[in-house]
Amino acid sequence: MSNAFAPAGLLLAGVLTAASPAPAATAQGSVGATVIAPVSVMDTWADLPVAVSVFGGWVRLVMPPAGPPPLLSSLSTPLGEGEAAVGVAPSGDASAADVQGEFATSLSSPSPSNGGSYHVTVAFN
Amino acid sequence: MNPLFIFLRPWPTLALAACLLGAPAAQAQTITSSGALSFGAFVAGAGGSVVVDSSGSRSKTGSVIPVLQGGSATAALFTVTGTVTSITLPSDQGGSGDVTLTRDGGVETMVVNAFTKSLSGQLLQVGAKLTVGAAQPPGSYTGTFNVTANFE
Repeated sequence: MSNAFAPAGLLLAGVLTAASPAPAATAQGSVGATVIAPVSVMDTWADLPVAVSVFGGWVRLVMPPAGPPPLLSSLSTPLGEGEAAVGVAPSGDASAADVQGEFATSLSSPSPSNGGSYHVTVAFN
Repeated sequence: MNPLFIFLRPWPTLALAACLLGAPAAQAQTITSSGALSFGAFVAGAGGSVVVDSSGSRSKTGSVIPVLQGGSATAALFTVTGTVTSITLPSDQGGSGDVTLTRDGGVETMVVNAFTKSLSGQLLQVGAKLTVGAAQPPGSYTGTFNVTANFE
């Protein structure tokens, strides 16, 4: 004897299943950025020789202790590479500045590597 | 025919339907944040934009000067479990799709939009574009955004 209700039951299951909304989940992510203040230029320095130490991708400029560190406009190295405009963020000693920027990657393998001193010419705005 | 038999005949089928509807999912379906989207540090200059793509690579337009101070830029990371059919980013949710960053301790803002994504296995990476105003006030800017994972 056939079960007349079997098709109805299965149809009910199919309709209810199809009507269920697709599962979804939401997560909240965080986003951030840091804007660094530009340094006002008190004096214009041109072709000023400075001592540059390179270590681990960072470049440290030791500049004469006169005025605030101005905005670096270009940096050329003995390797002849890596001219880029970067921001100078003074850190610690007012006579020195840690300079980080896109040009640092071009100095990642200088000779000697990860250290040593170079005399370079820097230009400032 | 036994009246009781006639009464009970449809119930096995209906019970099967109920079991199918109530069957639990074979795998948990979740999305959790495991890393923030960071545009890193930069000097605003005359303004422009900073773009971090879904691989975490940073580029810029205009007069923005990226620096490495305080760590590098990173794409947002999410861990997704389950069979994903689609990912919905802020730019897919209707409206402008803009996310606002606000300066900590201030009211100045910057806009993030043009979100991009890359899904590999359970790892979802999200990038976006940040618009920087001319002489944007310095400081740390933060905000939040939602990402939705749609499953089978």
